[in-house]
Amino acid sequence: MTIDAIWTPETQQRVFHRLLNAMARPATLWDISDIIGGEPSWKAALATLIDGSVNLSDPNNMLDDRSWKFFQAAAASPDKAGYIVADGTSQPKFEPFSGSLESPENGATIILCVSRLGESGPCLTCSGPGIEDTYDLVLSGLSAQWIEKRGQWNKNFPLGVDFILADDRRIAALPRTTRVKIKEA
Amino acid sequence: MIDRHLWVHALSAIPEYDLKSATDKAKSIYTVRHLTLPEEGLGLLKMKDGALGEHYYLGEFPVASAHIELIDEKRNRTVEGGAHVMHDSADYAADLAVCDALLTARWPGWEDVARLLEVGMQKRREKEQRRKSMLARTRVNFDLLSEVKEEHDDN
Repeated sequence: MTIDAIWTPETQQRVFHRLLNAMARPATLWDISDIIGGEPSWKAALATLIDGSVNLSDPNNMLDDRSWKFFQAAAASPDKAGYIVADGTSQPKFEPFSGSLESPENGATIILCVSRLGESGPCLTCSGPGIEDTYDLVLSGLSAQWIEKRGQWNKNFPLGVDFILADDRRIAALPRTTRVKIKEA
Repeated sequence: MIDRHLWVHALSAIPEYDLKSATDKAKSIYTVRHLTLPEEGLGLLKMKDGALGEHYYLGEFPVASAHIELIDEKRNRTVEGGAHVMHDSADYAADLAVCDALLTARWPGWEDVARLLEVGMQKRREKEQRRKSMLARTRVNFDLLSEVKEEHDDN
């Protein structure tokens, strides 16, 4: 009677450590495949961040019933959810909660599933706190509309949303402080 | 057969080692799959004070819970079991949940658990009986006081 690694406190603590590093060094890649036992990294990130005290939105129906039971989070619409999991290839058709001036930290965290991080595809040029000069993040499976919308959602800093990008094995974070431009080919 | 709502109550009176032996046997035959996250932690007992009507926490107690699915792959069938118990181990709650599933479905191996259930229930009854007799010994007979009062009134 075993339970998948991503649900154990030991794994979640290790994933959390790498998520913190990813947030501190925006756009850098963090491979977590060695600790999550074959589960996709977006699911491991969710398992680490979510519990019964937060709410979650799944506009692209990526989670099955069993996962919902394990996450324990209340389901919410994307405009009210603290966490949103979405497919990067889809178009963003919602306005996430970006916090309030009293509590900007309540802005949503969006976990975006992409096809590949750091291998091939369009390049995002990132700059801002935690990045020396600029940093190029190559990824595939992310609709350009997400970057466009992200710019709109984060224009009233400190209000805004934080992105965690994830493929099957790796994660990279784009906190609201990071400026992102799509690099011209 | 004892009512299902008493199963966890009865089985938790059994030594953990005996319970684990029975569930290990079942786990060697069937596949066990968690349906929710097995949990262990502290529960907070909330009470309302009589004077101001405000809530306060009386104390903490260990609590563990599990919800599992027992899978009989040979016959392609499943049954669910669950347990919510005052204990500090989620594994223990999962073992009780396996017993719950076995007793519900009466699949091969359930007889061992049913025996433990009877023993556990007997232990609970004996404990309850001891408590009742202890409580009876603390009972104050107010009849005597009323007799004394009547005697005083007569005088």
